[in-house]
Amino acid sequence: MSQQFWEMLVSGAGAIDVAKTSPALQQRLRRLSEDLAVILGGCDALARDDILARLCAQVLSHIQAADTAAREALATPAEDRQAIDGQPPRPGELSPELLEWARQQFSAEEIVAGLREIRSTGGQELTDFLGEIDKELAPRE
Amino acid sequence: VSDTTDAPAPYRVVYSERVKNELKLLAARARERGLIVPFRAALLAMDQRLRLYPQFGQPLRDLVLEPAQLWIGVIPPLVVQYSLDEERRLVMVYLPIVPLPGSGL
Repeated sequence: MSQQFWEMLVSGAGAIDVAKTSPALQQRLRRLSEDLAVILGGCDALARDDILARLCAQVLSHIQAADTAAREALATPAEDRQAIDGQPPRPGELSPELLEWARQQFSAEEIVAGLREIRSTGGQELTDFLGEIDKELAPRE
Repeated sequence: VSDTTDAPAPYRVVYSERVKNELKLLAARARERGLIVPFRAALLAMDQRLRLYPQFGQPLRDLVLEPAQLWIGVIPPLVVQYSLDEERRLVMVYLPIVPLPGSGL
């Protein structure tokens, strides 16, 4: 079944051609389909179809919730738009209390050490380790 | 009429090993507190903002021993501190991303 599911993903005529996505994404999708096959393996065909349909609806609902939250977080404040348009940005709106709290989070030595470390190692982009973050976010059984 | 856009090249955003490890701990905490969706959305939005317009934050302090400035940006429930290298169009996140006070994270 997982092979069927995978083939459907790869050859489907949907908006996204899975075969052209990154190898890492392909691998995660394949693993997901295999896990699903194991979970649903003991169900009869009717139950399996029902569970898959509900699962699709749940996944779409999660994506929609994440999109909404991201859109709200990304809504460009007026001062940002003004700056993008070439006008000087107005001062941010973070409160003095929050700024003071933030300054107390890390010492000057910690900051300099961190800066030197990242300059020497080059650092990693979020896409390099997003999978590790997602593992931590995945619900535990 | 030209088809080309005047959009500037995005910044490259890099995170230190320490930041990555602390983010994993924060992600586990977000899961335990039922904040998976807002945490992940904020993280992705923060990364995107830093790539497109890192000046969305504001300068927090000048560094004494380095010719750099530390900036702060807030995308609830997360707070990020970072340095900007305008010449290389590079954003460096090397201090752990922390929860915004009162955010429940």
